[in-house]
Amino acid sequence: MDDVLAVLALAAALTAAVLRDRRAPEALVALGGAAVLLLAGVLGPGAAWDEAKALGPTLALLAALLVLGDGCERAGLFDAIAARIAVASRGSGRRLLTLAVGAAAVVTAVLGLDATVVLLTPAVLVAASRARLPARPAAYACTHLANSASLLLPVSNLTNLLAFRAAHVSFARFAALMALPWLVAIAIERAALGRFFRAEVQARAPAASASAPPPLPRAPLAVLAATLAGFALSSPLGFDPAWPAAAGALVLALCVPRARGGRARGLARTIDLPLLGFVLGLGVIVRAVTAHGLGDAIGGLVPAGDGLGALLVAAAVAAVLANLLNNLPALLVLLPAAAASGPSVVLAVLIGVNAGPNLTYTGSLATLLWRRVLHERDAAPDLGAFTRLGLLTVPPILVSATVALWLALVVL
Amino acid sequence: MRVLVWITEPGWEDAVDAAALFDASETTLLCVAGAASEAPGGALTGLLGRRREPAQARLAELDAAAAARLLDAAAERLGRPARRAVADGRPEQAVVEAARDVDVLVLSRATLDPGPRSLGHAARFVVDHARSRVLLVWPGTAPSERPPPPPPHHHR
Repeated sequence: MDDVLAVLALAAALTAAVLRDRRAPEALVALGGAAVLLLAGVLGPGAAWDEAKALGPTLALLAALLVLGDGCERAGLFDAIAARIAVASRGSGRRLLTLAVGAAAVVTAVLGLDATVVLLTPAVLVAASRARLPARPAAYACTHLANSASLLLPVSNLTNLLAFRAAHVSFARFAALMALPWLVAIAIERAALGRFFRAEVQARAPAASASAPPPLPRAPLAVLAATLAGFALSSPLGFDPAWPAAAGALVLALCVPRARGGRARGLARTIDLPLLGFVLGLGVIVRAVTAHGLGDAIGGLVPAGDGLGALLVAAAVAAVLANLLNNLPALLVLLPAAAASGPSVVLAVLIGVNAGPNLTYTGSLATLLWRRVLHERDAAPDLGAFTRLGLLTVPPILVSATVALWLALVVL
Repeated sequence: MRVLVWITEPGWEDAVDAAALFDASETTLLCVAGAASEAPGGALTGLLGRRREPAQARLAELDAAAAARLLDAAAERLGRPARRAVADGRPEQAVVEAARDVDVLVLSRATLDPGPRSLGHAARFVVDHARSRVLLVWPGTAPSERPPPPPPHHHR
């Protein structure tokens, strides 16, 4: 009975997140589900409080990252990136794609998946339009790399933030181990996108006028550099990486003032309290799900040991689950078992949940089913073609990045 | 004579140049928007729980702006008055529908590589289903004068 209730709460939270209906905001559904589980005694208050306490710094870090990204945008960083990409493409579709891949890889690593999807993708589209080159390859580069290039740092993806705490590795070691998998993923994406968009990439346009692009704004770059240094120092000096992130966010928010009156409201919207509430509720619900038998069943899917074979299986299981459930619940469900097997398995699971979602164009199976159910009219792109693009990138990335992780573990 | 030009990237310049050869009473430049807003796809899974609507709205705006810009460039290249039309949804359906009442449809192949793959899947559908006459152009200089592949080898 407890099992059923916990799974129902999880299903309700995921459905709400996918449907995004105004009448049932996912944060309320997730927090409400968590409250029901508490009241019904499925999860003890102690366990729920533990989960909330463990998630607190992660949520603070996530909020700080959202503010940092927003500050960079308002300081003109993404406009400047767009202008530079437009000029540096020099009328070549191939160069535009390479620049978009590079920008997406760096922005995703430093500011996270959200920043690449929400802030960089429009900037790259503007750049393509300005360069009079086809926008499709660059747009897909951004959205693909937002997932697959979110391997490098604990701050690159919310999944990384959650796993980082469970893995008990330092910030610097996380980055060192994931550097090679990150580079491998980027190289595969670049090659696959170039092949998939052969026609668009061959396009040439008269090079944009030689007017020099605006310089990159200094303030956000300096703040980002200092924040990264703070991250690197956090583990040896023993403070939480949420502190440098919060400090960076604060400095940038002060450096780049908002228009008068919009300050509080704008900041609240940037921090995205509903998202934080949703993650908190989801964390508590998944804790209840895994505490009741299902945890053991799923834990059995994660191999013990950390040989290459075990890592490959862990990455594959994570990728499949991410496509069935979505990445966050997949990670939360797998994390306890992975953490028990050691940090290397946690990192392999991250490769799976981060790169896996590119496999299906519509996102997870959950999303797809609901779209079908609701007959939601989409822009309806050519699904077959985009599934081929997913097949072209995701399986090679899962295998190669996991092998790269294994090599890094052997060497470091 | 009514001429419809499907403005695609790459190849719109060549389609416009071909359309300019006709003594048309009415020329329509048609662009199907959507490159930007279709892209997020799998990334939305990564964004589970985030408010992505503003981003989607912005991408749709960029789509419209890019289409308008492309049509401006095409009209300028054509050098005579032309109707401009932006469609959305599936490109092949939009173009077949628009080609119902014209005499000639001009479109570009997707690549310079000779062979069936020089047509993208939408262009293939349009060529197969358009009611009007269809003129296909190469995107850029036509392929070199290599002879086409020999007929398939039959067993004797």
